[in-house]
Amino acid sequence: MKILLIDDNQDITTMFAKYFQLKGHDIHVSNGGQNGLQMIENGLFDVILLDLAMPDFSGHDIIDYLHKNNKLDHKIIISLTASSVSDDDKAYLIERGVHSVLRKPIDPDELLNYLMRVKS
Amino acid sequence: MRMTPTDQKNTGENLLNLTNQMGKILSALDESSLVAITDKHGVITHVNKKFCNVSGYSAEELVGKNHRILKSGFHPQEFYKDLWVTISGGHTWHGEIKNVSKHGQYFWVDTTIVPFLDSGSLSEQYVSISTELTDQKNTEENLLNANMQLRNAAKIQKENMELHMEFEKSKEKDTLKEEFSAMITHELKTPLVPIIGYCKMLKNKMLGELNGEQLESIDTIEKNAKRLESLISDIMDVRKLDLNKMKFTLEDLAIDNFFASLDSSYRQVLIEQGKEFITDAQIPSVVIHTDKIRLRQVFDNLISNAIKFIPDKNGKITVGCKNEGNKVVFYVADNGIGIPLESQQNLFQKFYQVDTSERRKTGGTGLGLAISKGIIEKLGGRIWVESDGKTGTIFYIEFDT
Repeated sequence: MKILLIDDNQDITTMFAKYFQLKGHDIHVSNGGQNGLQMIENGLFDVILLDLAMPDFSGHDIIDYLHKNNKLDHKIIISLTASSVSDDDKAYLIERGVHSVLRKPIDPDELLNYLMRVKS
Repeated sequence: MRMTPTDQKNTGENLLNLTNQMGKILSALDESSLVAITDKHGVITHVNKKFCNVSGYSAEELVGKNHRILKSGFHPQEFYKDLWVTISGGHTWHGEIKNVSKHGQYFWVDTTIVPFLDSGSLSEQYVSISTELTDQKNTEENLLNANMQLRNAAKIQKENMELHMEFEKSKEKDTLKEEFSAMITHELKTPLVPIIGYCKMLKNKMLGELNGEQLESIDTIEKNAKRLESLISDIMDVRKLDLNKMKFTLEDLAIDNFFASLDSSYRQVLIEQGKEFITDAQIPSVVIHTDKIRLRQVFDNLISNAIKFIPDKNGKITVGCKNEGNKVVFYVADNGIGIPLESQQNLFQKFYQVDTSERRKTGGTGLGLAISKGIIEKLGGRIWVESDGKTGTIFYIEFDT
């Protein structure tokens, strides 16, 4: 599975990169929103894991940009957030084409199982 | 001295002249002033035309009545007392009086009251001559009223502004509090992501073989990381309940679905531990209007509490619901060690935990039951506990249908 993880926390991206690699998946990471957006536009990923709270260019900004430019089709974007998300926020994101919103911290085994289910 | 005919004629002419003059003065007075004569008790014996015009009464209506018929109630008692003391003492009184007409209209008069002693009857008479002040006074009063209203309006405006500012401030404070909570949650939970992640990878031996002691250590780290995670969530829930910011989404909840979902989450897991999990939905077709995610949160809390206290052998948890009158009563019952009576009343308080010196370590946050109570009450229900302190505990949750 080709996965893109966008998160400003390097400990998190390093950990998940190791995990998915060891589980035999093709994992790409970005630690910034702008760079992450470029990677989304230039690459084909089975699933994109997107942190919502990032400085400068957040996950929300990425979603808004992709939505405005109709570039969300056929992309599976799963938002990750350590904050509590209100139903309104969730509805807003899903309306804009986000597949689902998951809460951090998340057990990597559970996340992988979820991704496998979503992809199939 | 005897009067000569000339004298008499002169006197007669003088009288005639005098009467003439008096007549002229009286008719001039009629044009300009209100004239009234009263006896010493204030009973009217004579009024002129102008008095009748202004007061709205006819002379017949007024004569024989006490002058106080015109009292407007505007002046204090002392005002009239002072007036009476003055004139009954034989002195002239002068002042401004507000009177009321027959038709309820107020009129101000500038009045002079002169007391006369009638030498024949020795009884006093009071003659009052008044001129109207109404227009002038009305203007003054209107100005005063307008001024007062203006001042009141300004005061109300100021109070409104202050209230509005306070409201805005408190709203701002609430928003700040909420933003702070969201930030705290984010900052506290983010470090747990790599901690829990690496624990999993180490336990999975993805990063190499580990000996028993190392695995045990990882288990402890993971367990505490997860405990910290629940503590953060619980603290945020308590905060939301305290700030009245917890959002509820009410929808129809089918009882049978609710219990089926509990069954699939807990029965198999408990069977594997040699324990029983029984669902007893006596009213499966009933639908209640509630927030199912929050209600489920309460059940998860009650069930995880029960799991901690049931015995390893023959441990049993029963969850169910029944109708009682016009109420739906849910319950979570266990055959655990029970809760002593003296602990039951404090059970729903924050951070309260039953003394565990002789009990197993609970590992809870101490907030679960406080949150459960908060949620159930916000959903319009009631939660309580029953236990004999030895052989199990039953938590009840009751909703009106």
